[in-house]
Amino acid sequence: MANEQPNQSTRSEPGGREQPTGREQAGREQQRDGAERGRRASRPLRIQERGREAYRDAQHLASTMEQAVDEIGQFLREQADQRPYASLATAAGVGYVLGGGVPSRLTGFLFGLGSRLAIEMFLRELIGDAVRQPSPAPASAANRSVS
Amino acid sequence: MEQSASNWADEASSRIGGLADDLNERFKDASAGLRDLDEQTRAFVKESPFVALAAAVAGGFLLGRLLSRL
Repeated sequence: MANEQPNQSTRSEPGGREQPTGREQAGREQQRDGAERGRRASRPLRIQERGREAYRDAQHLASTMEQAVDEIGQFLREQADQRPYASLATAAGVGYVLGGGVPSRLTGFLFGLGSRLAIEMFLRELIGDAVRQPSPAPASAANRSVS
Repeated sequence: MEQSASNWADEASSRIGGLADDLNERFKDASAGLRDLDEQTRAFVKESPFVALAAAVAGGFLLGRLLSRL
């Protein structure tokens, strides 16, 4: 295309390459210089802006963290005030887990014992409920026999 | 013979009575001690909850560390 309609401001070389005229080249260089200068001038501004943005973000993060820590502290205080033994037991349990006491044989034994007791209690409750709520058919039969 | 048996029964009953009184007294003492301990624990946890929780975590950590070697 460029070969069919050559630009007026360009000169065609024998090899097919187009060379810009001297004036145009100077203009382009000026443009390039201007853009480069603009870029160089705006770079510190952009860095400053980014820095301010980062500072704002850091401040926001710090305030959010502070709020979260306050809320956690308030929650712990409330729990310790209302249920002191449960809080202490929970804290001790966390420490126990962190101390690596979970895989020990004693823990396995206690866990097994606890789960067996829980299953027994659950079954007892289930059976108790079943005994307390008799099915309607035997009751009607009993009524018939009484009358 | 009967008298000696009766004396023995009296002595046994008085001893058992004394033992029961002693046990009752000890039970009352232990109960009062536990109540005091409970009040002190509650007061301490209320006053400085973070110290109490940190102490509990540390105690649990040590216990877990010790039991993990068993």
